[in-house]
Amino acid sequence: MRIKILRFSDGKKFYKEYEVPNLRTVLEALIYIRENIDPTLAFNYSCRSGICGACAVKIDDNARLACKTGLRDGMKIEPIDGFKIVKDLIIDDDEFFDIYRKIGLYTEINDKKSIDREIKRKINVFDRCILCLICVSSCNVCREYCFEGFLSPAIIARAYRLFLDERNVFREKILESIKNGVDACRFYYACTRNCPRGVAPSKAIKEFKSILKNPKPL
Amino acid sequence: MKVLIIGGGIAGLRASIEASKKAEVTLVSRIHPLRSGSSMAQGGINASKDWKTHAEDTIVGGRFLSDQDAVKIMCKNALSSVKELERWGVIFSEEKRKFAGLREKITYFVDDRTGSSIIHALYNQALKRGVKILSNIFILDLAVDGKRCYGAVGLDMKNGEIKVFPANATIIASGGFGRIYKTTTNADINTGYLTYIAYKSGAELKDMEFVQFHPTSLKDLGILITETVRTEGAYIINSLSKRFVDEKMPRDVVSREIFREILSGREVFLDVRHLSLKNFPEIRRICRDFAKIDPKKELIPIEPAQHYSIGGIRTDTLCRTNIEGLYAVGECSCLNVHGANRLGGNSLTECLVFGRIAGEAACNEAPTDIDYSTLEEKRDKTINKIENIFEKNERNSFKIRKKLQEVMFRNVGIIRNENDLKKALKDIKLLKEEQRYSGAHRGLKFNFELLNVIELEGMLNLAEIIVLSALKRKESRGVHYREDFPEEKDSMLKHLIFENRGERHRIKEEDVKITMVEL
Ligand SMILES: Cc1cc2nc3c(=O)[nH]c(=O)nc-3n(C[C@H](O)[C@H](O)[C@H](O)COP(=O)(O)OP(=O)(O)OC[C@H]3O[C@@H](n4cnc5c(N)ncnc54)[C@H](O)[C@@H]3O)c2cc1C
Ligand code: SF4
Ligand code: SF4
Ligand code: FES
Repeated sequence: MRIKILRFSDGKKFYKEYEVPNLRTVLEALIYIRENIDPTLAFNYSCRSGICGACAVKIDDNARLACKTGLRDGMKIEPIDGFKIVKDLIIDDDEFFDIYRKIGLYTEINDKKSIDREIKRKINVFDRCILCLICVSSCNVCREYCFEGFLSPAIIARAYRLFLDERNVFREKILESIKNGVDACRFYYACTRNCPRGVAPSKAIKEFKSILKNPKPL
Repeated sequence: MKVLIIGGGIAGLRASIEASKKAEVTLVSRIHPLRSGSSMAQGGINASKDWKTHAEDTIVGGRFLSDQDAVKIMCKNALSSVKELERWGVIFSEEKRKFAGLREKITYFVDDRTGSSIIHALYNQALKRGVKILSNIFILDLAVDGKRCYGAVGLDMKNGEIKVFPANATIIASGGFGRIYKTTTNADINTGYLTYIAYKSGAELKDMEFVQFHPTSLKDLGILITETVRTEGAYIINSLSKRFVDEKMPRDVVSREIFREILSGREVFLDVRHLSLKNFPEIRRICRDFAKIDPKKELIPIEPAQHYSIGGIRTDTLCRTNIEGLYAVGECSCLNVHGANRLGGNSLTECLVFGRIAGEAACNEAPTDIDYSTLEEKRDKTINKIENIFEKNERNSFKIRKKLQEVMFRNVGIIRNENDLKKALKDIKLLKEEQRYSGAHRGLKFNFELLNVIELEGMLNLAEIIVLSALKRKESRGVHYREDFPEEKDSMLKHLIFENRGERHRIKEEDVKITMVEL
């Protein structure tokens, strides 16, 4: 099988083709290349099982987890969009996590009362997010605003997960810190379509927007 | 007071939260903390009001090799660790489950992605408390001047620089060394490099022969299927559709039986078709995405895989190593609470309970001046070492790593004997010789060939220690099974401790601390 990879190092960008055996996944192909053909190829991974969120890359123009995407002949593999490239397929996520830190996604639950079943079920879905950044890179708005103004689907989905828990004493603070960061979304749903974990960031955005429009006492 | 934490898994993050109450904390990690091995934990975490039963199960499951003072501390504090996670937002299922070897259902879980849910909550807490988190830092050496540690030297892989990280107290939380084995459920970054560096710097290693295998990983993939599906009623069958082992036995027993079945040429499957799988969405996802099967309708092909490093850097119950100012916690350390066989669900408990203790103990370290000259000396040494690697011509480090992983799986695995172990020792020596000529292309930015050469040195040396320890233990106990000495021997109710003496290892024996349950 032949696959094409976008390489980037020392300011130079170029595509390179590699011949690899019939392997199961894109990640296996990348590992094969690094260990047998070209040790300079840089990419990240850790769990190999779709749970750590380290291996997001763009495969034939769609952001995917390399470890759970089947390998096909002629595939084109590039770093995910929307971030600075450090080397080859590795992007710089420091800025993203800096914003994540600054908006303060805090939780403190003192209340002993149990939460409503339905809310719990909802939290469970949003709790599946692994911050793989696939939604961020799939979102046109993010690419334009580059986190300025728009907080990105991943951060909003995470914020929503913590906000949903009615017992969280930081609920109001979370709402306050995202309130100016959700507007720009134009509902293209690329985030929700591409999420490998079945989380729906667009839904979180929609619900936040409606809460902000009709503020009810928390 | 400066505390440096190396590793952003569940143990490192928990330690950072505690230390941040009193000290200025920097946490460095070779990969973003959320990507740590801890994120993969599926089945859950053990904690019970009836801590005595939990402790007894741990000790019996560990074949009486656990240090019982440490087990007591873990089990007594387990429930408060779980409550604390709930306060930080983790929502455990209402019901509880259990792992093999537990008498009661005391395992708290979040579906079958418990580790992921916990690590995200801890990460948020660490940020809230102002822990400075630096990712993409690979720690290369510890600044130890013979008896005290003043921090570490690391490679900033993003910027391509070698940096020093000064600290009054340093906590290693770098995870296990599963990657020394060919088939393993561990993350690819778990190579044990810092366990080796700690040893090289003078810290003692303990119980290194105890390497745990998990009975049920997806065949050829090493992806885990949690044991809790077995305690919920899953069957293990062979290609003749026969059950051949009591599925509810502890993992050492089940692993061996499956391994024997595979050796006699039969395939082995996990059968969960009759279960509801309501609480196991990840298992369904994993089977679909990676084995391309529907576990509700089809059998899951499985094999045992390396899973957990019981041995590691020796510490006391305050997580102190024998080097002043140096602590270890989590899977890289060895207290030893797990004895000769870790019960499922006890590792997360250990990481959380002792993570807190390590963070607190590090802050109580008598503040001494940091000796910057030791740090600089180590940095210069590291730069020279890397330059040396760039100048070597051979480009075979990935091949050597593969060979080592095969040797370890074949000869130092689930069933051991003197011949195989001696053969492994010889092979490792040859590989070590080969490794000396192994180099890498130039560059410090995300140079994975360079990392591999560096890590390989650690992997080969740890492998050698595991084999030597396994040779010395002429009995079978828990996960250490010697077919030439198939019985447990009371005279071997001892820990084996390794101490680095330059080119030689000194091996000491130490009595097991028995304070609760007698044999
Ligand atoms: C698939 C799987 C399922 C499991 N399920 C369970 C379960 O259900 N219950 C349970 O109790 N246990 C379970 N375990 C075991 C448990 O998850 C681990 O033992 C535990 O998470 C280890 O945590 P840790 O913090 O010690 O190390 P890790 O989570 O492995 O973290 C190690 C950290 O150290 C960093 N690091 C390593 N080397 C360096 C270096 N040189 N420089 C800088 N940073 C470095 C890494 O980046 C990482 O952040 C499971 C293990 C696996 C593999
Ligand atoms: S919402 Fe989905 S795509 Fe976005 S970061 Fe989370 S898991 Fe990844
Ligand atoms: S729905 Fe909003 S957040 Fe999601 S991709 Fe579209 S614009 Fe971006
Ligand atoms: S390697 Fe962890 S998600 Fe792909």
